[in-house]
Amino acid sequence: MNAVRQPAKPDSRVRVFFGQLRTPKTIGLYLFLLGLSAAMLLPLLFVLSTALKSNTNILEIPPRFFPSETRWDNFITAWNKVNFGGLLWNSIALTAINVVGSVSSSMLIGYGLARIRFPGRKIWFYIFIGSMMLPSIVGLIPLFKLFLALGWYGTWYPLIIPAFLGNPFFIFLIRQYYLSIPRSIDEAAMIDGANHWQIFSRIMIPLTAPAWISCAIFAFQGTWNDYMNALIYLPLNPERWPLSLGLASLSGLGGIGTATTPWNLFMAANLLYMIPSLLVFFGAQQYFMQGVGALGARTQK
Amino acid sequence: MSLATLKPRSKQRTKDAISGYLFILPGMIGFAIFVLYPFLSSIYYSMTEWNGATEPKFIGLENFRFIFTQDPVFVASIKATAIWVILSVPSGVLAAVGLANQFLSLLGLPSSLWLGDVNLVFPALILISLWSAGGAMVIFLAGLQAVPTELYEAAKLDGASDTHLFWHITIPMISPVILLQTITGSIAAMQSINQPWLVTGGGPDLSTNFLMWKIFTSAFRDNQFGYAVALVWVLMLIILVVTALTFKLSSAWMYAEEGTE
Repeated sequence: MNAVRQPAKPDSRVRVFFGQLRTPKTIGLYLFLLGLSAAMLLPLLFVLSTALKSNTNILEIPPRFFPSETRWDNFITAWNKVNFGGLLWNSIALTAINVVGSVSSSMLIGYGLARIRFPGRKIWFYIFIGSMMLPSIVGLIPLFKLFLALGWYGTWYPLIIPAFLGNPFFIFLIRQYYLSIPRSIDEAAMIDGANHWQIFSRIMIPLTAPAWISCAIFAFQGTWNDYMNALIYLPLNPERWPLSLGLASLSGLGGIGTATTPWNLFMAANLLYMIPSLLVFFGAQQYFMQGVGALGARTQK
Repeated sequence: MSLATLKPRSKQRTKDAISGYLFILPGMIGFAIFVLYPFLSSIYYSMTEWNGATEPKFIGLENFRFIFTQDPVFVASIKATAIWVILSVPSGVLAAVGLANQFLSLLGLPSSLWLGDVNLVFPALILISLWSAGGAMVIFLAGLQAVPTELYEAAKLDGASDTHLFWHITIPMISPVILLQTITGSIAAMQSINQPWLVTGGGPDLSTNFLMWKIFTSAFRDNQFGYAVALVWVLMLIILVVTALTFKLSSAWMYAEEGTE
């Protein structure tokens, strides 16, 4: 794969941009894309608009985009009503454990598959990739029975232990990234007497940073947004809920859309819930693109 | 490999085999617990009557007979799922290709040149990518980056327009990615559950009673776990057939690099 390319200097890009803007075709294209973006943003703005409305104004017809009275206190009410502070802590802890678990286990497996020659490594690579293709729902009910038998129902174990056993997609992504790192590095280290663990922990962890940071972002999003697993294993333990369940409980657990749902509070809580995801993505976006770019690397024989 | 000269070859091999399996051990355990065990045991559970609390009772193929001949909701579920897949997958793929192209130019990376260089919609695009087409877009980004720029340069020298470049180079070159995305998109769409779950509850009139939602309600609301597992198997077979058909139909228009596996 090509090395990560440097962005063009801002000033030259601005010049190119204004240069191109002159043609009617480009202007049309921009208008089209802006329209598309607006359409995509509209639901988000609608969420914001609803979050600022008073209880009586949420269902008025015709709906008003700018609320007649702006209720910033909805955010505080929503915060208290879903026990946001307490559940936020749960979500953070669950997410942190999952990110560490799935990224570290997948890094180990990725190194093993990419850098150690052993009989069966190709077969195991295909087994891991193949298991991505299987619908995860097949496992849902047998695993439920298994975790029930282990006494893990109502605990965090079903939500965190699986993370430590590798994630096929992460394994694939990290393994692909290794293909872009010259083998001469490993060989040099081996000649100096390093073993695989030393090569992995001292050399490869820093070198594969873009790949595992991407995985960390994916893991963050997956866990932060996870609703299904929490709903299956924790419905009766509100003190252990992540935020996703707390938000759903605002509208009656699982059965959304009753007439009494306080939509304004629901939307306000949703916006608060979204903020960490946005921050993480904006913050780590550069690493993210680099790591995922590695997927395009040609498969090595 | 130069290592062979340093240590006796067989000793190094044994060492490598041991460390290799130690490194992938977590994955092997994960595979056994989360893929192999559920897969095999679910074959048995699909042939049982089981409420989730007491032990499953073996009833042969009775669950499948009921699904195909008696279940009043099954056909509606299939219909709802099919319509959802047909509507959502193509639009998702189309949106993602366009966005990925934009994103590349925004980052100063070579895009496929059909939309020029864009700066102003950057923040909006990030929000959009988080919105829905994001995951697919990221995969397309990877695909677009793998398209050799020489192809564009050569075609440009020959006087090809941006539209030509897009249709005759970009699309053929990323056709494997489009295929991948169509397949994973279809698989995901066939397993959609969030829409009925969060918004519609399967209504109105079962029109959004996706198969996955039916499975979920059968198991965790009606406590018919054996029946739900049987439905899972029906869904899985449908997914397998659809995936195989997509592969088959795609071989006609797919670009395949010579010599790749």
